[in-house]
Amino acid sequence: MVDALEDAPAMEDVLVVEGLTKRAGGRTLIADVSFRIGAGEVFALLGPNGAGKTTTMRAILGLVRPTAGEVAIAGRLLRRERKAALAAVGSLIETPAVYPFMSGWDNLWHVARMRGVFDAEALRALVAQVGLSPRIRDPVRTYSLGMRQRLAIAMALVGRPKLLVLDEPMNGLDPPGMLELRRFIRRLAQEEGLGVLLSSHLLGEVEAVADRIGLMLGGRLLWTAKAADVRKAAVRRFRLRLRPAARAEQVLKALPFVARFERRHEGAAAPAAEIGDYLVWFAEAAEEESPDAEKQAGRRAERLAERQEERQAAALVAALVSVGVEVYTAAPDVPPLEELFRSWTAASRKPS
Amino acid sequence: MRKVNGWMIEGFWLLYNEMEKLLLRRRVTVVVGLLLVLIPIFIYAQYKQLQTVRARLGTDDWRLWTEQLIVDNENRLAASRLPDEWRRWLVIRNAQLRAYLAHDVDPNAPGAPGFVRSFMEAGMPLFVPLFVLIVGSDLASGERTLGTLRGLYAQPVGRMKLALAKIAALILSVGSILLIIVLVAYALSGLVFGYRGWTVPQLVGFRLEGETLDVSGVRLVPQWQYVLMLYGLGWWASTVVGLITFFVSSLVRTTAAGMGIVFALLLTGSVLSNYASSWQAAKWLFSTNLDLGTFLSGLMPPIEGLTARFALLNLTAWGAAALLLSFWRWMRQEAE
Repeated sequence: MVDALEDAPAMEDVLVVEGLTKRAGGRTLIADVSFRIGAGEVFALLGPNGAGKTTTMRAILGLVRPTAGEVAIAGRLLRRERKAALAAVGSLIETPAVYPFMSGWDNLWHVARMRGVFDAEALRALVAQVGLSPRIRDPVRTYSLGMRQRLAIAMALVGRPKLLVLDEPMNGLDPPGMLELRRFIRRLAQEEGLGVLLSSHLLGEVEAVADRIGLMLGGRLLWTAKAADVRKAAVRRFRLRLRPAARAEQVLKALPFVARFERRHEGAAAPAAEIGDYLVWFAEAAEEESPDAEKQAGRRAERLAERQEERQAAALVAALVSVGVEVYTAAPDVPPLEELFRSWTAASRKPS
Repeated sequence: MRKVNGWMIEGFWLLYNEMEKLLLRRRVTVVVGLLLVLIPIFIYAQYKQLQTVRARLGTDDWRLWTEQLIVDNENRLAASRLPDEWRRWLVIRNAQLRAYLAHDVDPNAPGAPGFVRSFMEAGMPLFVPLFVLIVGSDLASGERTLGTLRGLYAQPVGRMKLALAKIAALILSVGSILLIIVLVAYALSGLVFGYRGWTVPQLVGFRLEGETLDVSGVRLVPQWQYVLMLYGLGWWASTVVGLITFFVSSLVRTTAAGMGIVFALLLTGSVLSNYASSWQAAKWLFSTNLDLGTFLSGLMPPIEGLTARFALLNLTAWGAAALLLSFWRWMRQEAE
């Protein structure tokens, strides 16, 4: 198994999960899951539905009793000091657990009273932080899903927890909503030093927000790696739709920064044989192209990589057009999880 | 943020949360609405009955009424084909009426307090528990349906305390419902029967011994005292129903299922005491023991051989068992 300690940052750990296992009804839901989250770090559990992400989060929150393993939140063992451990974590599991017959404000107070927080000013600040101030007195049943989500996040933040657990937080959000939530999570982590554990089944949803990503499949945490490394290993892929195919292939073969490409055959498109759909993998950037990348921490390097990828894409399209190839589609492509996992393990020296 | 600790304070705010949810779900509002609709119907029914008797006997003198009632009952007893149970009931009723005559007390003295009393006497086995069911049936299953149970369980609050707060909220609302019944019944029936009559004497202390009614221990108490005792018994019966409702609500996934189960249990008790009152084993079911008012008024118990002591102990045992099982369930269950 992966040694969770190896990737762990040097900062104070707000969450330590060690050998977490849950068996129920003869089935193993999660097996030997171990990882750590430092203060100010965003960690994403990535995996298809049924991979055990939610079960892991439920065990961390004490909602299910693990068969084996330990959970420590902010240095408190959940098994021994349940109350102190849970006081340090705010959570949002699956659908926002809010009472539709109460107002947003009443829902917030409901949590505040259980957490022993009696500070209306702080609650008001939380409401403003999630942008619900104008509607907070309205009954929750009149809220949209996005608003419920924001209310639930405000509820999770009552009492300033050290760890935030968000299960599929992007579910049901529209693209602007997702972007907003990502920014919000990053801000919480960076400015308030909150450790964040979130889950998703789509890499595209978490690659921009997470510092580290853990891949879960079949109840096991197969891999954890820095988000920037994941990007390097897997995201440098481009999707093209163009005509004519033969001339384009000559160009692709000639370009130095194209590592490899493959033609995709979707159905029998005989009459449109001239049109070709391609997946193109870019070569990894040379070190000298971004000399300061090494000195900069994750985010900056990632942004540079992104820019470089965009430059490569622009050069690719320009080269194709210059020889008279018509380009219909050119877009970055996020590979499915299984492929990601293969390329991920292939790109790494560590055994799985 | 400022944090306040302490067991009592925490308990108070948990109870506050539960009461808030209960009130905002408008369960108590539904009960009050039902009372406002149903009580006038009962008042009118009692008013009509009084008029019918008055027309039949042609007099307003309660002594003549009572004597006439005794004669009526005796005539009925003389008829040979009367079922045994009826016969016993009439014998006991007559003994009681004679005791009222001997103490110079009108058993049906008109007035709002008398209506408050008879409403509880009639409602204790089924009607009042139904209100408890309305208020309590989604206390636990509602959280499960809404998906808010995991929200509660993920808070730094003991599960036992969460369950306790919910039970306390239920018991508090049972008390409130009884109080509301008294207020609504008194206010509305007073319009028809007059608001006086709290000090009218009532007879208590009848002792049932086999076929006969022992009236040697009979004492006079003012109506208000009688009503207080009656509502005290009603509160206990309703609380036990509340505890059982909470346990069932903790077990099932949906509120409808929980409501159906408790309602079926209540109906079973009522059916058994109406149609099979000589089957003594039925007394072990809690719902045949709910009609505690009969022990106060000295009428036939709902099940043959049922005593006040047994009924109270049996109800208490059912309540305690429901309480313990609820705690066990709340400590053990995993939130989905």
